[in-house]
Amino acid sequence: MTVSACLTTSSATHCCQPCAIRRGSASRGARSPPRPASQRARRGLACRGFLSGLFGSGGGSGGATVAEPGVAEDYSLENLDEVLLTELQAEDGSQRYIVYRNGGLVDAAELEALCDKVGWPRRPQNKVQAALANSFLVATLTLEDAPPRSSSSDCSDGSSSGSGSGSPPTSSRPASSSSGTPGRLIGLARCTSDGAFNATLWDVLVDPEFQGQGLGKALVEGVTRTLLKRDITNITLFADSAGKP
Amino acid sequence: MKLTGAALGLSDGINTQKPALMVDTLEQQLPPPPISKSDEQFLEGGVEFVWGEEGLDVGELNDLFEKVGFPRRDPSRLALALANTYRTIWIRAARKSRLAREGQLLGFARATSDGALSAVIWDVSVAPAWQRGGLGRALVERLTSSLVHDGIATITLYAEPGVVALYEKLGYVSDPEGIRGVAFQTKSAFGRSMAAALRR
Repeated sequence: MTVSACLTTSSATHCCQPCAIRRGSASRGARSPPRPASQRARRGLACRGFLSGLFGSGGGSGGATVAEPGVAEDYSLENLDEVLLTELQAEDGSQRYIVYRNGGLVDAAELEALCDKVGWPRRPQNKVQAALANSFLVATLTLEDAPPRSSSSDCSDGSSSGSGSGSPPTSSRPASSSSGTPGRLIGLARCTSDGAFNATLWDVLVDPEFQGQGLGKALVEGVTRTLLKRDITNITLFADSAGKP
Repeated sequence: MKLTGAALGLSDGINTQKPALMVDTLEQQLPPPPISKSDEQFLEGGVEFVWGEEGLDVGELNDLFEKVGFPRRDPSRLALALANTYRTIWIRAARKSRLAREGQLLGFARATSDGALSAVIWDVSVAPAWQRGGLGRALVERLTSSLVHDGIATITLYAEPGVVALYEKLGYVSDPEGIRGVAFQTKSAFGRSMAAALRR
């Protein structure tokens, strides 16, 4: 599936207008208040760093500059809690948005269906629910009809890259478009932690329909950055040998 | 419980030389490990086990960490970590002796968990003067039993190479089905970095 790639991070303090994000150009929210240049530059770096893998390969544009290896040390300006990862076009021509979200609501039944889809053995529902509730952080990927409420495209580094042509077919279900309803769950990652030193990632999964485009990587990167932002630096996880990039 | 890790590509360097050990108690209905030496026996030897962080002094804990070669922690962050820890067990000197004053902290272990599916054991430590007396094993036996008793499906821990054998004796398994533990290494990296996820 090809996607049009334009990257924004949301800022809760900023811009209430949904941004029109178009392939091939970095558009700014029409009513964004001007930002100091240093802040813009740092957000640009943060944008690039956050999903450097997502667009650095596979998109094929080659035009997106990739950040220096290693993460941006200053996380203070990023709002990592809700990030528009990518935008794509559904069969009917409407826009869909893949959103990364920290602490989003997870419907247990929907998660179970997703686990089935990736081929995991079933686990008792009550345990899954308890585990979600007691996890330090649960991050989700959702497919939505509207961009996140507070998105603003301030990544003026031209990180948008057009790749491929034609609309990718997506089996988007007729989701309600009210802003309060979460979209379709297509990915999840959760971690346990003591909130100070150690964290362990569990249950990283991406809907097979959306695999192969760096979303799993984005999930892990998002959780990792969120943890680092809180000075939790011993981040661990268990990977099987079949872990796919 | 199948695990998919997507730690590939984190550019800050991932140490992959860590056997991963997982225990799937849910599927296998594993019983808790037998307690090899009872509380009474230990009490006769002048030590007692205490559950929970009440009565635990953070400064003393840092001293213990230092004695065993773990990094000392910022006290307030350590207190925060303890508050967010699922289960804590420690060992206290039951009486004054040549090696300890009464009430002195001799050993420690804790586990973080989501309370249902997974738990990770951290910071298992025994004061050097009290090592080789079965205290480390006793701590892990009790902590593991307690987690199994709570119905937690997967119990893991990370061990220095020299102590992996201890955990294997308790039923933990290295690298089950090729699963490996990996840890994110930042510039402010920590000393303990061998990850052995243990399968029980």
